[in-house]
Amino acid sequence: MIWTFVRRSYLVLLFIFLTIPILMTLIYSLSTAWTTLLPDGITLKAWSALFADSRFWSAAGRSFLLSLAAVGLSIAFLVPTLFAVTLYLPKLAAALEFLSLWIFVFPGVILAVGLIRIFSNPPLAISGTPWLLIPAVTVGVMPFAYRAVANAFEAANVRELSEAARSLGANDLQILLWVILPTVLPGVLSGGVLALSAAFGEFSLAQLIVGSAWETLPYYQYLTNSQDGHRSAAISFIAFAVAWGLGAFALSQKKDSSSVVVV
Amino acid sequence: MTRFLSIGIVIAFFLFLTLFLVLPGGYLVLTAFTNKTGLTLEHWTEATKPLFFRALNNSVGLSLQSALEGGILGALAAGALWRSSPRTQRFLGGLSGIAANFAGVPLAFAFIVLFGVSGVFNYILQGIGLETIDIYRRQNLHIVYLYFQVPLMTVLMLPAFAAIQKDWLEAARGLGASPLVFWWRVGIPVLLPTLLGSIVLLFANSFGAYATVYALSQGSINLLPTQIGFQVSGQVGYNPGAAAALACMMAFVLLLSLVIYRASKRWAAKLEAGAA
Repeated sequence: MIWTFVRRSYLVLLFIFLTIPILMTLIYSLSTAWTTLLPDGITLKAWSALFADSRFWSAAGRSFLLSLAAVGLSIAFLVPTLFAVTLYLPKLAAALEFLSLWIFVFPGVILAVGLIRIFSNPPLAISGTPWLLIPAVTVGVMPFAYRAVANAFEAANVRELSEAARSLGANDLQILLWVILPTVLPGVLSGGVLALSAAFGEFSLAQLIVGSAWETLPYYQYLTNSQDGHRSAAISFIAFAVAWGLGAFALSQKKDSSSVVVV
Repeated sequence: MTRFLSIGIVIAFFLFLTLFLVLPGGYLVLTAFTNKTGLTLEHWTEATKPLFFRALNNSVGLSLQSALEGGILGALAAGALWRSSPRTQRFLGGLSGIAANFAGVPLAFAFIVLFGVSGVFNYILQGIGLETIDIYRRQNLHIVYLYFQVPLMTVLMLPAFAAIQKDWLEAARGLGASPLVFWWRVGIPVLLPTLLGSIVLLFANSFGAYATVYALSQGSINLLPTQIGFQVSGQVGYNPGAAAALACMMAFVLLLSLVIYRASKRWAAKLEAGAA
């Protein structure tokens, strides 16, 4: 039927639209020059130059550290908080969800404006250091982390599990560490991967709060964009690969296909 | 004892959020409405300067355009996926979910490779005698934004389509209704709240986007988020008061969009409950 054909072609076009920028970026990073329909030649020069640059490795290391710290911190806060809220403070559940969404109203650029002004003066003059960037990114990835933890809690029947454990004589700390944590951890980790991916690509907070003082990978790429296009293409491809790899991992862990934070 | 411990963590968490989320927000409002001597509206007068007004105007225009285009293209994609096999749905739905979150420096650079001064696609367009696309122009920026707007809309619409049972279509056909009539009388009314709410969310998504446009144009495209960034980092002009006022304006628009989106979700849930 004609409609089946139209529908399929549309989906093929969507697939091409989503994948061609990545593919082209990869080919560009591997080409000598590209001035006609096809690249003039293939070379690994851009990639080897990139891998030989110690600045690239330190920037990648910082981004890696930053995303691990921010996601680790948000999960460390959210798991006990949701546990306590589920058991003792159900009235706070709505407030918690509300706060986790508040970052949509204060995206990176706005949050940075407020943070810089507050943390530029003693006693808390930590603007310009990773000590402000880490909590800022933690707040930035909170909607992702909150979704991950809340979904895992919903799937785990936390209330019944806790009651069962308590009737066997466990106290709250034991319940949290030995019953709830192992149950929710797989869900939290697979959802947390998306938060990791978001933190890894974070640009606005990094640029405005630390800038060159603590160069992350996106900021390094931004600074070197104009120097060598092929090398920049290589960094873009790495960023794509990280995001798509982590995203595919998160998807393979769960049944439904939405990896977007639906507010 | 352990109960106190867990409540202690809750308090610590709320303190953390207060310090790094609520306080900066409050401080912003305070900065926007005060100067050294007291309450003032001078930052708001500043914020209506032609430069800032153009930024606001550009941001609204770009966000409207990319929300409408992304909304229509994404809704069509979700509709096409609705009739596809679960495997296709899972695959393209997943791909969309990842792409929807992928904005920033790497995306900007990917589009420079495609449509920049020596962009690959521009050579192709040139080769077949068509006009090239200059991605650094504001008028063309919506093309880059579609990369995350279309998949975001697709992911937002998929659950709404899933609420339409495929046998409704068969039933309607059995009663003599053409597919067109079915979509007009049943499909679109059921989808409408999610459709409108998601387009509003797409508007907000574009309105607050900073990294992509900043990396693409080094700030030469005058939009609200880039202007706020400038006025606070002091690269081009330094006016924290005006930046705070602009940021308040932006936060208000985003808050409004979020409220509308949440209301549309409740409306959709009510409709679906009524239909089922």
